[in-house]
Amino acid sequence: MSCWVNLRDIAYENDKVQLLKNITLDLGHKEKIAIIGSNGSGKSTLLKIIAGLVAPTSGYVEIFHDKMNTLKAFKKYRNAIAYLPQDVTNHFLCPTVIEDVIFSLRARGEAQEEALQKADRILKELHIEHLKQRIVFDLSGGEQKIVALAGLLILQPKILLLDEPTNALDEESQQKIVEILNAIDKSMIIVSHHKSFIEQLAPTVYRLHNGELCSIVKK
Amino acid sequence: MNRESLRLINAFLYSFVVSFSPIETLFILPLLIVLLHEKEFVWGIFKKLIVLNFFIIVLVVFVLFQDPLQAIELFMRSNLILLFNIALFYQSKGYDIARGLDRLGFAPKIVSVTYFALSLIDALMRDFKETQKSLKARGFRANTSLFSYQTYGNIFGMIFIKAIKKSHDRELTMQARGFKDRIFFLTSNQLEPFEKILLLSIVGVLGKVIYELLG
Repeated sequence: MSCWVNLRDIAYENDKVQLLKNITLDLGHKEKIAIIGSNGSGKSTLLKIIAGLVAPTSGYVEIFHDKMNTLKAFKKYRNAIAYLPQDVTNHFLCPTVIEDVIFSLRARGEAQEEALQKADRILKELHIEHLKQRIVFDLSGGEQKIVALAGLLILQPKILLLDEPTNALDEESQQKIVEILNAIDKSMIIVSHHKSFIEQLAPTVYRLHNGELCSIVKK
Repeated sequence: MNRESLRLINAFLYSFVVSFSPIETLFILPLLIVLLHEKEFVWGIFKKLIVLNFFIIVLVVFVLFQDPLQAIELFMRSNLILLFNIALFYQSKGYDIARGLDRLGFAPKIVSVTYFALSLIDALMRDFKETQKSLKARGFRANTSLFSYQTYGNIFGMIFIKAIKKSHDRELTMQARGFKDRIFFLTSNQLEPFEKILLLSIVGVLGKVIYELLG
């Protein structure tokens, strides 16, 4: 299996605290990996490093076998890597659902009509077409997560990086997210501290403990 | 031209006329039109005006001792402008201002900065309301004690830190989502007769002011 993301000896230090050390990880084509760990264990930071939003103190990331030496190097893979932050309200850059969903397409120069057609399709697939004209900040937590996912999936990324996609959601919304994510046939790294949620999604589970990745569970 | 942009033009024109021309009873006409249009929300509009009057009164009191007439004029002008703008934008979301600016052809950077500033203010206001609820739930009663001031000081400090963190996270999102100084607005509300009538009334007032100044 060809690897799409490789992490080599990643370490990260913040305010003299060693958050991550010697992290080595490979994500294959259409492989789904989950990383669990307690609060503050560095899961979100690791995801930001993979997304090219935070630079590691040492070590490097390879995307499609291309070594990323600087954060700028990630630029050419922005459309291939989709990152969902923990607090999805930070994900939204436009006021209404439809405007936000088509944002990335418009930003890369796609025509409005074409973008709208794609958005209609993705909203229908995720069963949220009724939210189209709503203000994103007025939606419930579950609806916000699905809208944010729609904004990522519309770009047809090759790699999805999801930071706590079920954070603060009720069981019904969690189940809905599980169903959506299970239907997505893409490489995925999911970070969560909900073990039951992770078990339904990813066959490979890593635990981040004391800054190190350990205890791999492979189904 | 859409509803938001014409409202912005109306707000600017009315504020300009009231600020820079001698006080006229005719100034009330556009105000009455807006209040009539928003008649269901009149109580809410006046409640907002009363809160904002706290700041105006502080300002007026300073001027009152130097020139009482000017102080009264200042009070009236500020209240007319505030009441008109609150009533005009009472039902609209703050984002409509950014939408209006976009439609009026302002530079994309100005539009996006306005939008992000408004959305950040909105997010922080939500946070502040939630914190107020928590204070109530935890049995906090605001009074003039040092503890109350300390508590509010802490809350504002936390909101300030949150604002910094939130803007940093927003910046990361912009990088991740390929933001290039521009946001794209889609929906624009159609013009209603109300906006046109309001514009006519303001232009009428402006015409009368110019006529009197020249005549």
